[in-house]
Amino acid sequence: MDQAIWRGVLGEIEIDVSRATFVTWFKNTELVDSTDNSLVVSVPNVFVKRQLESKFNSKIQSIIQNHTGQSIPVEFIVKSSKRRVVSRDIQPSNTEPKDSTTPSTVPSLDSKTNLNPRYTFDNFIVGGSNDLAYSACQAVAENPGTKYNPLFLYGGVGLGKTHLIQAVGNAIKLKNPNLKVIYISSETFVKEFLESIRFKKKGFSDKYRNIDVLIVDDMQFIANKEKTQEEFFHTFNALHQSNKQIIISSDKPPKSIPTLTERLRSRFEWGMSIDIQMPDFETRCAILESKADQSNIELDIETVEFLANSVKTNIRELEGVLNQVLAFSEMRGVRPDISIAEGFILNAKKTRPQHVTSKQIIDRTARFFQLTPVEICSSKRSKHIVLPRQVAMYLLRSELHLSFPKISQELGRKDHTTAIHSVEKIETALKFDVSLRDQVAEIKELLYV
Amino acid sequence: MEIEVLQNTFAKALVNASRLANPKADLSTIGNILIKTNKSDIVIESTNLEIASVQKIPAKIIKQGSITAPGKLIADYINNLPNTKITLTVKNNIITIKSDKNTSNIHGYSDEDYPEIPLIDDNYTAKLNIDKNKLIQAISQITPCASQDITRQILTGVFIHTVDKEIYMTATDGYRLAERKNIVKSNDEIEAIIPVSTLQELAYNINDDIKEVEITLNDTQIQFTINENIITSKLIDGTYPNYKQLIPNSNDKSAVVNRDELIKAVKISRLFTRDSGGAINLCLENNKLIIKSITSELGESTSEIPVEALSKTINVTLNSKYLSDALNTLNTTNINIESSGKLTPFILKPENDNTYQYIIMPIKS
Repeated sequence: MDQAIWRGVLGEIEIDVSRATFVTWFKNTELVDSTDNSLVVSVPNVFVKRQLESKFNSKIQSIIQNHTGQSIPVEFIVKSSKRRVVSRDIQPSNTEPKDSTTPSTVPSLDSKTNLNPRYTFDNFIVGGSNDLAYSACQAVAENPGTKYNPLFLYGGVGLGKTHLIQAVGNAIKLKNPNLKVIYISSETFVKEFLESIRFKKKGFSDKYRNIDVLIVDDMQFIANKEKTQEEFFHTFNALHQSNKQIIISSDKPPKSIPTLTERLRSRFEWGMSIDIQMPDFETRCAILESKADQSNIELDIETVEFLANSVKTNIRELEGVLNQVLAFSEMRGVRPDISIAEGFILNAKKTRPQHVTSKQIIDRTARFFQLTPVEICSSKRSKHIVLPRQVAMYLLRSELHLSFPKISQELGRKDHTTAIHSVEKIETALKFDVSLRDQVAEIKELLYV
Repeated sequence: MEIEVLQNTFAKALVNASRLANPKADLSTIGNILIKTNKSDIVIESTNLEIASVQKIPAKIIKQGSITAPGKLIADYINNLPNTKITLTVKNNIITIKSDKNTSNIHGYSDEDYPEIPLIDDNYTAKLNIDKNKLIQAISQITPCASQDITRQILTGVFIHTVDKEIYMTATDGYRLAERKNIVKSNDEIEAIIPVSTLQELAYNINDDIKEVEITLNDTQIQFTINENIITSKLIDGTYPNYKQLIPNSNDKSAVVNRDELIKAVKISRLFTRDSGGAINLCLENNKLIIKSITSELGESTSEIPVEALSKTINVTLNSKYLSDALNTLNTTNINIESSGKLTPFILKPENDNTYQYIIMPIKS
């Protein structure tokens, strides 16, 4: 009967008033909510609202009285996507807020835990490069304090460390809201510690020693700060002894952070250290697709692959480019496609040289290992030259996709099987040898800076 | 109703009001303007059902009353009278206007059917005051960028919002974008899309006597109070696209150019761009900005401007109309230009002023 009431009102008014009056004031009005003693009608703008309230209300009332035998007050509201219309019967599907695209709906931080609710396990894309870290984090979230304690995650910028460790916090909080979880960056820790010294504030040590899960992001910033390290050391011990979970992230493994005091380093290595590596091509594609999906936009496979191929080393950068592409196509009102993506990739790649030459790779590799390019290309087989030479071959293959005969030629070899062997050897070694992986990553950074 | 009023104040108000009166509307009364007395003032109202204006002018009220009259007619009539005292009387819906040597009778209508103007009284969600000059400057800089394409309603408006308690205004049609930052401080969070026509109407209503404009807003409506006068308007419903992602983060200016010289060069080059949709090419070489345009039938032109170059390369093709529009909104002697690639957004800024930027998407060439 709800809709029928308003339809009845419209029907009678249409007969009573002129066509122009009806079209001007009653077109696009709609009953959006009704209860036994009130009706809510949406109108297109505030001018109509005012007119219906002031000039037509008594007429509307008397029609309703005739139809239903009782007087039901009518409230007029202006249609707006900003205010969600309360409705039980009609649920317009297009009023769902699009969280990911609107800047105004950025989820707020939980002030107690500092966790950002946006980071969850569900929206973390798992691939070969991060599944170990992902599983470890899930295990920790299941049984905080017992499994891997401390859990130490390390890897380059924009690979998802913060996402994962915050997801652990959020998952723990969800499962057991009573547990006290705190997420801080080591910078904040340093800052708060300094303030507590300067203003002789009390309660600093209590704040961090009476919690159940401590998550510290970007631990590398604590290096060099000895007093803070000492304070953190005591906090760490206090928590660890009472089986409270500690999760730490950093851009390097503990032993590669210079000026980290020995006792802190050994403690970090107690539990589980896992590195997060660069995502592989498939993972990058999956990330792009899931991000686009969150914005309710479909990307064709060509564009996804193009973007995934163009930004290889940093997920944050990858998402940045995707966001640009999406914002751009939203404004133009067109579907995002590869030609738009190409425009932005030129932009994103600005800081990188278009072409790394094979000579540059050989030079940089040689310099990194403190050799000369001549040495690396010579026929010497001493151990300190062989490894750099193999690394150079691997980089020529992985970065420039040179053919094996070409690689051999570049390094003054006659036989291309040497190159095949070297590349395979390094590829295998990279899976196990952390220090080699770091070295290769550093050379790559040198190449692209 | 009987009133005595000075011609020039009355004419100004009627001309303002008649711009909104639309004689072609479905509802004929929308083509009228409402004239009524309120104690010692005359109140003049008009609306096109999206924007409404309420003006108050001082007058000698002999007998209270109200009437609506065809907007264009009465405004034109009063506007053409000599500047003397005018007597206006209404009897049986006939408006008799007498001045020095002229007398006229205009058929009026009772105000019964005339819509009531919805005003934001106390139910606003945000309120702020803006200095007149700042507001006018922002309007003239921003509104030309708004889209004309009514199928994309949201872009036909100007986006006003707060960032860290500062008011920003932005407009874009997807090909170019103008953003004005830090217009004024606001304690209330604002996010609204104002129809361009509202801002144009507002600009008409601001004159030299005015120092400040008060703005009040709620979810669906915005209202400007200009001394005694009020412009009220609906807002465009929707969420403005997240345009900030399109603006390159880098802040490296590429070159500093003299504005007048660039305007001249663009004007010359535009003559050759009829075929190419207005495309002109800007290229930086040895401290010179070279502006080229080519049309296969007409010929080609090259202009050089000495510039202070801060980056090695600029090579970008732009729509010359957008470029000259942009230059017209920049009023410093020198302007900074930023370009980081053939297809990346091209940015113009006034020298030493980071609160305004005009961004043009290059044309693929």
